[in-house]
Amino acid sequence: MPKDWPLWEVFVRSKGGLSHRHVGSVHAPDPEIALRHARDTYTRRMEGVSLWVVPSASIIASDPSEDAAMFDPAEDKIYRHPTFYNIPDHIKHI
Amino acid sequence: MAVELNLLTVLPGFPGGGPRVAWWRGGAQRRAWLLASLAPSTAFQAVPSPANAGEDKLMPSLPPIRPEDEVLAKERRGAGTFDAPAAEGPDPSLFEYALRLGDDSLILGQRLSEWTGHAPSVEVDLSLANMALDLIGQATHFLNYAGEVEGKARDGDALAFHRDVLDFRNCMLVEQPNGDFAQTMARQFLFSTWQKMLFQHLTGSTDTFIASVAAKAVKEVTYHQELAQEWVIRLGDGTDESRRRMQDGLEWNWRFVPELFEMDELAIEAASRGVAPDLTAFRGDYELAVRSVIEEAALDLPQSQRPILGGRRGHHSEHLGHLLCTMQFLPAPIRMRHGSLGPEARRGGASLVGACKRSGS
Amino acid sequence: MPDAYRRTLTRQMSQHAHSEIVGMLPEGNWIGRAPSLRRKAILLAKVQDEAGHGLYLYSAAETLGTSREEMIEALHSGKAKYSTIFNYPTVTWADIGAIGWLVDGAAIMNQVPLQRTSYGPYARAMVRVCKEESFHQRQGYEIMMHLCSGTHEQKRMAQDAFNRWWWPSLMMFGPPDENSPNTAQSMRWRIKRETNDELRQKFVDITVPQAEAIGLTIPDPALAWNEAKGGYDFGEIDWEEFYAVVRGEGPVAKERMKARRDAWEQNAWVREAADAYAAKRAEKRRAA
Ligand SMILES: [Fe+2]
Ligand SMILES: [Fe+2]
Ligand SMILES: [Fe+2]
Repeated sequence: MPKDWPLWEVFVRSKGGLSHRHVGSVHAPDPEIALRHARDTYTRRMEGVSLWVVPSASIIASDPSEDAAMFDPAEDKIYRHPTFYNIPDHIKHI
Repeated sequence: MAVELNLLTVLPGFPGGGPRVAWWRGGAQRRAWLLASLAPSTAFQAVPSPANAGEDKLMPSLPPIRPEDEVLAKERRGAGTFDAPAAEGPDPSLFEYALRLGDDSLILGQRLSEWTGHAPSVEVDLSLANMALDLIGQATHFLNYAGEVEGKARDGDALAFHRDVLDFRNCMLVEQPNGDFAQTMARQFLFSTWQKMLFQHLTGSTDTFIASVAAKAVKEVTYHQELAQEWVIRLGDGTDESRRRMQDGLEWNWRFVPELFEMDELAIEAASRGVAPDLTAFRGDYELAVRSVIEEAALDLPQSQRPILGGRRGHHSEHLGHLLCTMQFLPAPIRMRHGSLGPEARRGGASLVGACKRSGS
Repeated sequence: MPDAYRRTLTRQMSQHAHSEIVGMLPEGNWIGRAPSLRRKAILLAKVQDEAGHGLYLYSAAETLGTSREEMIEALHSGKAKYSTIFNYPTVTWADIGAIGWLVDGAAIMNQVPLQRTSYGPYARAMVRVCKEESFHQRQGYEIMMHLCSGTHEQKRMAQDAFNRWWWPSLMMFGPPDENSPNTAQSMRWRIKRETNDELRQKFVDITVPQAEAIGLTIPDPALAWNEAKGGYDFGEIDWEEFYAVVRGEGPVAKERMKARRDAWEQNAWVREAADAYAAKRAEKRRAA
């Protein structure tokens, strides 16, 4: 069976000051060609000013079956949010 | 790799190759020399003289050449030959030069777009189409400009779709068939490396339109050059099969490199007016750039051979006619209103309707 | 993620991706022969977009664990399907107008609801696809418009293309609801949002006035405005033809599959070479 190249995840910064966002993936044999493929696929309409490509195999993802243990414990830490604190209205700049 | 990359020295008397360099600095002198070298003088000498014409036993069916024919031929020397300009006009040489730029981009864009849907991977398909789109954009600018300079109400479409082989001014490299992916990348690498250097120089052209198009296009072409270079290296230094194919692709296209640097009468005039650079100015850089990539790709430098010239004056390879057959397939009546065919077509196009008998199907 | 959901999603996304890629071929057939430099650039950009769409969708499908290689293999072996519409030939330039207008039009109608589909990567890919599709339909209609206001030959060509593409376009929405095995489940999973017949009706209602506006005749004697339902009644679709084309009996089905297989197999050496180069380089780096 004819083979395909490795998979790379593509991140695009749409303009200066914004962070890179994941937009999809490309297949490519190496980093340089991966960048070219990302450019030719995902920035044909002036969508980006900067590109990252990351070998998909290097991404370490959290396990969806452990969502609860990973993320639920943050739920009741309401004191981390500014609205948790009652400050009288006449106190300014706080 | 002992072979010297000496693209031009083998062309007899071609300026820039070793001892001829001196010619390059003389103004009127070099013009006279080039004119002499380009005039089709030998063809005329081959005509049998009137004295023995009637006794020519080899071709009894040919009518004898009369003295007045010979006088006429001498007077009309240059007219109707391939070396004559494709059009008169207020500035025929600027027209011709714009055609050269436009036709290079058009024909290569057409060639590259043949890959669409058939590339080695979908990603590569996108890369090739991007290059083709850049080139077709450049062609549109240069050919529209050529039409304007000519002043005969022809626009880019009229020039692209209503000229025959003899009037195309592209170099022969760009019309070469795609072959396999290696041959396509060899062509792209050899051409884009040259085009990038050319456009860099053209950004300083005294012709402000050409300078502005070059300024935009040089970015596009820089990308083409890098992409092609990366592929040449990967295929050259990949597997045994890819190396063989890459070497073949290089060998196929190598013959047409000297033409890129040909300084014919028109190129000299364009250079003397500051419209275009003296191509010899970056020949050394080009050779270095090409040589270093070929080395990195672990490929062999092809042998120099006698340069093949003529594209700039309408003498093309067999491939261009077939390319035009495809590109110019649609008859004028169908093409009308799809973009413009120039003012006369916009006025109703009566002269164009029925010009071609083919149906659009 | 339930297994059946994953399987259905993968099937739907990969079929969609295949359709975009095979869909490059009928229009690609005319890039080299486009009638003007402007049309050449537009068509090339459009067909290139379809390659992009194929990529976005393959890449979304790959997040579910099936490699693109496997999907392509399934396409080439005939196991995976693609939209039947691309098994019809593009014989004249007007076909390019008809395809952009009708085929991309029908595709957009199918795709807009998918931007809200339940699987995130699919929905995000579709947002991107729909944004890019917006010029595809317009450029097609513009071609038809120009041809219809042109010479007799141009009009004839436009009507002929319209006649040939009208019915296959209606088939693009899939079999009638009572005959569509996957629709109910897909609606429940929210990977499909409207039924085949609902979308088809919407397409007819939108397209008929567009055709009439440029003087084209709808090739359907049964077509009539139905005041009560506020939409058009239209003739019976030849489902025999539809299923035949699904079975791979479309007029140019063999050409399409051959072109895809050739591109993949005859260029295998390119992919191998680049892999070999990458391996050599990695080896050198290790040694250094
Ligand atoms: Fe699409
Ligand atoms: Fe689509
Ligand atoms: Fe589309």
